Amino acid sequence: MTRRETVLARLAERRVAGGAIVVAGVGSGLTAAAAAAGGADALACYGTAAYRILGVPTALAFLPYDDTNALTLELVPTIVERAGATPVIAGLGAHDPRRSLERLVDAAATAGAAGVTNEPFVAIYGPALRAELEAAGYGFGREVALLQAAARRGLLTLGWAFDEEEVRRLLGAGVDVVGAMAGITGGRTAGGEPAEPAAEAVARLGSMVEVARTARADAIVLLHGGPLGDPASVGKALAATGADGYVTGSSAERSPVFAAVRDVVAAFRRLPSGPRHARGSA
Amino acid sequence: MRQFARHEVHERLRATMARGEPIIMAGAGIGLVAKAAERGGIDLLMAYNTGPFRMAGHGSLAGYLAYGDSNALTLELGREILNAVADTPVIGGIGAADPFRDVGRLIDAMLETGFSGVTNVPTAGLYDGAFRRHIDATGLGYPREIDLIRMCRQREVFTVAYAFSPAEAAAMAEAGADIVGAHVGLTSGGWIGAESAVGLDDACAATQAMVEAARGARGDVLVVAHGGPFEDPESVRRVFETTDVVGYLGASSIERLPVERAVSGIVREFKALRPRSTSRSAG
Repeated sequence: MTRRETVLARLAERRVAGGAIVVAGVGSGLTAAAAAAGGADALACYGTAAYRILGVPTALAFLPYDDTNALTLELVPTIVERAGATPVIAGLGAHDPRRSLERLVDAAATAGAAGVTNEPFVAIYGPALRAELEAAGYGFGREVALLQAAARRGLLTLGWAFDEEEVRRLLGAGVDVVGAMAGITGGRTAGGEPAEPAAEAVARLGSMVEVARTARADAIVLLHGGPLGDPASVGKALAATGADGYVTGSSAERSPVFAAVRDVVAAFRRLPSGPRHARGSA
Repeated sequence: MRQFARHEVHERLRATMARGEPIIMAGAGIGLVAKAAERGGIDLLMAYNTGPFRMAGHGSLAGYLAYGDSNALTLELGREILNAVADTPVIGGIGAADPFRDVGRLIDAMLETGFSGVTNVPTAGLYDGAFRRHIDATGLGYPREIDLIRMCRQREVFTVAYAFSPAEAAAMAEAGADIVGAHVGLTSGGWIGAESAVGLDDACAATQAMVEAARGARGDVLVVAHGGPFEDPESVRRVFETTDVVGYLGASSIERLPVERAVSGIVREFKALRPRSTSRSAG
């Protein structure tokens, strides 16, 4: 069995059992181990996850201050090692002018990845830059070609789509799992503008799921982003859209890690100091 | 290589203008281009991270994606460019959103490398839409570039600031930019150029609006035209005739387009020759 078939069998089993498929985005060995312990069906490792662990704004993963592919490929072996039997999907930047897609996919496979996803994606950029990128050959088409190269290498493919048209193109190219994206997670906590209203985001995700099922009846579709930040909102969105599951981002990494460390430090700090006689000052 | 103090760059530019000539500035992504531009009489050279991508046959836009450390790339490029020229100031680009380096120390590093000034490249000005609003709001955007220019001015470091709107041109002039590059979009033309969304007339009007805004904010600021349809001497003649810019800053137009044409042309000429041996065997 190829790595792709192994992961697909795992996801199919989960689907038959009727539970939500959960893919956890992780940027460190510790959060990888914790997500695997929580039963994640797969882990995903990519540039924004690496950045949120460093505590820097995740938008940086789309700016020219690092080589996103070098960053991810360096991180993947650690994640694979900590993940145990849980498969790891590597997020690769398809627009890297100095690496061929085949070599990039090879490097991810060698690092131990069982799958590939198209992150960073050009859909994050505004319409004017996006149009220039498409015209210069750095568009969505290269992301699709990356996923096709991964499939030829026997790896699972998770394709991110921001709209119905991208869903169609991904499924037309034979992508295994579609990630329907509602926008940047937790824009507000990072200081960005408030996300799109929840009802509108869920409606948009719903039509992407519908388009996916029309293109391929058994397509696996996972949701991500926008207002989907906790189990309650994700539960509602899954029920409303008919999607198979959820890909966690900041929601299962930055937010819980930040809160947990803050709270335990505060709890330690609430302790009174030791009794005076124990300090030997008397 | 000679390093110029801020006042020395100004003396050079004043001399150019006193002769009635335009200030011509060129981006150089390889040493050979820097050397050839110097021979042609360039006033200022610009070195930043999009240059090496462009001269490696990729799109300049690759310098705006996450496939390299822009500041490390520019410092590396500086060593190459600075040693290729003898007596021309070279301005280096600083990516002000760098999360891993302090901007003050980056300015130190640029000066130590031998640059005679600083510019805001890569700039947040090329991003738009929700992503742009997001990076401006999270401290990774254009406001940080205005701070960079202000900090340089306080340290007497010469600056060239790219601006994309009248408001940005005014903000950069107010922050103390020596030259404002009125950017009207990525340069069109050639094999890997972007498709320009703006026509020549609109680009001239947008340029003039930036000139007026910048001069309104600070009377002695120098404004040069850049980008969009200004891709050859004919189109630049138009912006000189219809606006109050004092010069032109060319990157793709000075290094990419001419090299594309020159190399493919000369190869075609060689290929058109017929060696005696092949004509004999063909016969």
